[in-house]
Amino acid sequence: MAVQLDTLNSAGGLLSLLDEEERELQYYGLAQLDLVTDRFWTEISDSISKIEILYEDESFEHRQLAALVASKIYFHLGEFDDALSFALGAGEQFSLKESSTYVQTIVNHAIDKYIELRGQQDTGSSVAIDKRLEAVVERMFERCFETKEYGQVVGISIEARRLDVLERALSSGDTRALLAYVQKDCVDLISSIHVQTQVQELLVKVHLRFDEPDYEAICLCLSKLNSPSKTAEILGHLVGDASDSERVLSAYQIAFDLNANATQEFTRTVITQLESGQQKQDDDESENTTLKRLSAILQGDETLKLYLEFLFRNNKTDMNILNRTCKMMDSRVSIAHNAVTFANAFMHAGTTVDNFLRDNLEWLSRASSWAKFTATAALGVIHHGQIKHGFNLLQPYLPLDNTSSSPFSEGGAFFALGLIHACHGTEKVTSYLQEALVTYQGQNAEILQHGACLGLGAAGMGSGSEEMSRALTSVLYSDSAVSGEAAALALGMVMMGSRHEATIRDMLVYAKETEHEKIIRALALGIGLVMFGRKQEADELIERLLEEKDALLRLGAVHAITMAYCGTGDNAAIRRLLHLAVSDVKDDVRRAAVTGLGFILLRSPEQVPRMVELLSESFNPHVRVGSALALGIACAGTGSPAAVAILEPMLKDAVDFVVEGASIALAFILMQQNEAYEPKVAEVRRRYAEIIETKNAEVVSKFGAAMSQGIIDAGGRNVTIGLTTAAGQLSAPACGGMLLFTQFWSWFPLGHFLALALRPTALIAVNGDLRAPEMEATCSARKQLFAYPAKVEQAVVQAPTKIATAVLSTTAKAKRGAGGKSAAEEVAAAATAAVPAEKEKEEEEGSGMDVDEAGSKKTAAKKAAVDAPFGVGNMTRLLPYQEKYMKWPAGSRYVPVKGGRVTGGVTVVRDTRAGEPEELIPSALADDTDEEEAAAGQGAAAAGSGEATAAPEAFEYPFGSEQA
Amino acid sequence: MTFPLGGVVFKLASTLSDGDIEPFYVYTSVQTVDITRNVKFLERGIAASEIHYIHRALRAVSALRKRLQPDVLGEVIATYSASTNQQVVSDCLKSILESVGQHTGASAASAKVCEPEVAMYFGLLAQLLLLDGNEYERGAQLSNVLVAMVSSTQRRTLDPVASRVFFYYSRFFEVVDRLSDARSSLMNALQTATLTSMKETKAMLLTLLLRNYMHYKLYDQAERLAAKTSFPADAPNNLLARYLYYMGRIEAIQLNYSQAQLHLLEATRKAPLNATTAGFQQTVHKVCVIVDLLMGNIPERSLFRIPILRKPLQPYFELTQAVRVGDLSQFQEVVHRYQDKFLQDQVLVLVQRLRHNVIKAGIRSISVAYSRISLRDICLKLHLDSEEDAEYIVAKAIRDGVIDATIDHEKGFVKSAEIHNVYATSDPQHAFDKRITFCLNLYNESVKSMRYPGGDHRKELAYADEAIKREREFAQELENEDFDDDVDGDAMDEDL
Repeated sequence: MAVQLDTLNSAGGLLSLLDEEERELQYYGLAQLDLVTDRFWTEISDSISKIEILYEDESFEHRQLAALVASKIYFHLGEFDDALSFALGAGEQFSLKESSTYVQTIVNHAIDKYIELRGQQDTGSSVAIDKRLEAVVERMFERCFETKEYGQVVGISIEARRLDVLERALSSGDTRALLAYVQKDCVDLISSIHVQTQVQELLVKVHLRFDEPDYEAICLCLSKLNSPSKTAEILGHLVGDASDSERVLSAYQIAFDLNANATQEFTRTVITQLESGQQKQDDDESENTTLKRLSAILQGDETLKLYLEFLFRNNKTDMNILNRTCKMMDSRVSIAHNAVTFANAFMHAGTTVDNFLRDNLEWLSRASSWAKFTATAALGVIHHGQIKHGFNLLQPYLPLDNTSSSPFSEGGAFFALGLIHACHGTEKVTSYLQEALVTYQGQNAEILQHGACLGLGAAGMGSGSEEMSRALTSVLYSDSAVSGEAAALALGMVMMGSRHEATIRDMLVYAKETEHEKIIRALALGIGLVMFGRKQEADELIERLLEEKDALLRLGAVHAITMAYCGTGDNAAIRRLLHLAVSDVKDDVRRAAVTGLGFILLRSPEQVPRMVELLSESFNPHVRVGSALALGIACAGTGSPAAVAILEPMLKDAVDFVVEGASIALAFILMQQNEAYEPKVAEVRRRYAEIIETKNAEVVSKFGAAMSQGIIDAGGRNVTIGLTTAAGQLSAPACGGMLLFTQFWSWFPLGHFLALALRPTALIAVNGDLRAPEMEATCSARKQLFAYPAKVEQAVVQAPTKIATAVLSTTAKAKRGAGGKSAAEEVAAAATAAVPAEKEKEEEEGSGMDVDEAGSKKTAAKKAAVDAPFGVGNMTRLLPYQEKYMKWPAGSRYVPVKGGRVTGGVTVVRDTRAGEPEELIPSALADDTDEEEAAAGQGAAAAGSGEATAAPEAFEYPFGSEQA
Repeated sequence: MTFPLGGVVFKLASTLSDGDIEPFYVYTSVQTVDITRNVKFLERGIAASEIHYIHRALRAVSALRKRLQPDVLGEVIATYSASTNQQVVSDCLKSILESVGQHTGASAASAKVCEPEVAMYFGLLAQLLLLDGNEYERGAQLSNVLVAMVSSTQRRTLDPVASRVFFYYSRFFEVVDRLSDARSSLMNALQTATLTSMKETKAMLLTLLLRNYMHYKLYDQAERLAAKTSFPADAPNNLLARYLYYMGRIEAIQLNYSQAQLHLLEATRKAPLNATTAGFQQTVHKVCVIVDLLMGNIPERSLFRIPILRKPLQPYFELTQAVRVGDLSQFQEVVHRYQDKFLQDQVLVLVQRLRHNVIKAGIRSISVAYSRISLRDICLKLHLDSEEDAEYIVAKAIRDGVIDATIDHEKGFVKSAEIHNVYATSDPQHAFDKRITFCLNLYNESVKSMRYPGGDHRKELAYADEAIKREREFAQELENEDFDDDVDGDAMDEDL
């Protein structure tokens, strides 16, 4: 028979068998047809209806075979849906074990279909899933279990929302590895928040089955599930027995991680729950301190303190760059003044070093109106995180006795207060700022309100506080363009990520009522912030806003897409943004849409250069600048050569604001990179200087270049853009801050919000007393790759700490000693005292080029020595791309509580030789303790460091009296 | 300097022998380099997953073919080895070497890793060697191995190479006259190519299958296959031309003349009219002429004057003349004279269908010439058997809309209706529309097939830079002039 089949030229004969009366003949025909479908499907498909009729004939014994033949024919025709349904009808005849392309294709299709149907069920529509389809998928699962391909089961079960299967897979394979896989790589990719929650719950459940559960992972899940009570329970359980130091330490570690990854609201609730739980139990002294420490960590005070310490100790700002820029920029022009303000603010962000301002009092005094506002607010960026001294620092600028004398600097001070307390708004600060909203009346009130609103927004970011939002709404309703704008922004910040129905409704209604474009623009941004991370839940609103005729409301839709899908890489969102980027009639919308791509793809930066390559050459300058920013945001800190290759030509663009955008984007990308790692850095830096020094360059380009100089060396060269936390979680305040920063385009003061997106890159390890011990981790790569970029004054690279303190103390002494000296003399004194070699070095190396050469010669000499693994000390810089080379040294005294990789952020270590005297790193920050404590004579700083590093004296901006 | 005589002779001999060897040596070494250069293109294409590099390598194949030597190919293959996890590739390399009669020496340690595409490329060269050496059986065997490898390796970059391998696979089976054996594996390959969206291979397989069916005159099967599959839109032109030709043939046989004419016409236009494509052009035009005649049109005289077409189309030219005049006897005579030729061209069936058209053409010319003519005269003019026959034929022609006339049965004559003005109708409009659409499609297709090399425009940036600089200088000059004009004003501004 087989021979006959091979020589067959047509299936016509076999097909005619189907018309026979005899069942036996029909069966024979079908059986033969089944064998030749591959060759004669074109012919058989003409008679497919006959075969279908046979299948539908209930009395036909071999109807399943008919279904199989029909299924194969439909498969050949490319009708996979029909092929699948007939294959399901074929029952046992359809064998999963066969490895033909037919079976593979049908099974793949079955799984796709199943996933799709489950997805529809999930969204509420009642679709019945064919039992047989389910059976096929079940059989697939079984096969995977047999062959131990758990990874596949995990993937399919999550997509198909089959949590029961997921649970089974998790418990049957290598559970810990699978749990980590799901948590790290799968959860964030789930598009539906609902399912995400279910999966997280399941993870917690599985975790808790262990005898020694991984509490860190659990707490991370719980923070995402937003269940502070359970977290508090676990933490309480861990610290319940104070004698078990291991557990206490891991509780500390969890608390540090929670502070880095969870929202402000969440940690606050955890603290209150913890404290209430404590009150029930009897008072135990040691437990009390533990708990106090725990809540301090959760509140973020400890992290901030450590970061401040780190940033201050390692500050590597190159003052020469700043001084030069300051000289070149015409300070009488407001935009130029702003530029230098930003450059200074970013360079010193979080370092508390405000020498530049002290040294350039005259320059400072030239600021007028809003430039003064920005300049004052810059203090907030510089002292970011210094929550203990916030009020004291700003005392000179805050209005006295509720009467306003100079509204711009006072408004700026309010804003600065908010920035200092960003995301850590204490009761005192928020109530003070709220009061400020209502206290001041009169013609200057709106400037003060503007500052207070922005401050309140920064301090209360993501807190979801009803009280604050009420206060802000009432300011918004006063319908003043200046204060209303800030109120709308602040409202968005306070309610960030909450998707609060009433707030959104109010904002939308008011956006249509008001006539002030500024307010509508701010509301659009605010709505975007409120939708942060809500993914599909924001779709309805986005649809509605996209329909609007008012371009500013469409802008709101773009912001909402950007924020709702931030970091998800969601294809639908990308498609939408790309469509808007090329089709919208309004430039603002197009620019924002392209910029939004950067936010959405920030976890997969390698995709962005290809995506925006064409857009970066658009005829429309707004699209060009948008693509530059998208690259900057997504590739921040990566030094991606592809991105740099696109951006470099843009520095020569004919349109000034494109040059500005490209400069800033390059600064983001090349942050913390040195020439050994990315040779382009030097050229880009030189280019900035060139733009600033070109006499006839547009002032906007100069502004961009100056700001970029600040960004590329931000935080004393010790911070990076951290839109994700060290653990890889999306950081809401950082993303919000970055979005607000991009709005400097329309309102300069918003540039300061970049401070929220900066993350110190430090190796910080603390012991049980939350003090940093002297210890090291080893790095197995070439040291040169991670060195600080060479700077003009710096002669010795190896001893940074000493220099930093020396400069500061001398300055302080010199200041105290000769108060009357002019600023210029002071600088000279400080510089000579600190680095005597500087002058001669400068003489022999006339230009920047020579410096590079000398530097490289030196490194060449040293290279042989540094190729060996080297130690990275506690409280020093640890670059993100350095982490993969890092290891905790074996057999050292301190062992990290959380095993595994060395990561940025705070690590808690266990002392293996408890009882022996510890060598602690002394605090370099003079004003480590509160004023009151210092008065009480128990200053830790004084005890820790014998050097006379007293607090710098307060100084006041020499703003003249002003009439606003 | 004096040399002993012997030394001189020796020297001469050595130079001579050098001279003898050298051309051969140069000849082969150039080829090794040629092959490796093409392989480099392949590897670049694989690395960048850019198909056009691979096409570039394949374009050189026809040039290589003429000078290819088995030992050179063996030499090149020996420098490659399959990576450990690809058993298929190493098997394939081995059978390539065996088939071209080279030793399968142990590959050197420094051997480069052989990608499946590269192995397939070597296979293609080996196929050509065997085909040119008339070693068809071995060629068929090797082809089987290669085809098996294609189905087991599914990579998009394999597409262009695989499509050519399939072509020669089918070719081997055709020359040994076992085409039907290849059919089922071609069918399977088509399925795989469709599922993995290997477009070029799919296009190739479709044309090969159509050819396969037509070889056995299975027009029904061929038509069904064409109806149930879709030809990939972005297939290479040569494949498209072939596909269109086969479609035209099938449709002509199945009486769908207008569609057939459209496809054949397009086929002639897709293929360039030059010496390389002469064979194809001749074949297509033969069918095209007959289909034209069957449609009732008379092909342009100029067509038969084209140099490459003139001789082969001579019988068709005479046939056309017979049809044009409507002379049945002349027609019969031509058909009889060239019967063998038509049979060879596989168009005899179509030619025999032309008899009707000859009569129709006659009737039409009569109806144009005479406003009234008796049936008897028609009978005489067309050499028909009887007046009754003539009456039937005219009636049929009227019904088919060939002529616009009425028959007076009583008095036995045909009366033509007034000829109306075609230009008053919308016919010209339709004709123009058809042509315009054709032109527009052609334009769109050529725009689509253009390639823009990436990054080329960056060179212009340098110029743009200069332009900006000039502009800036110009602005500066202007500013300076301003400054000269109102120094006082500026000074005042500064004070403020």
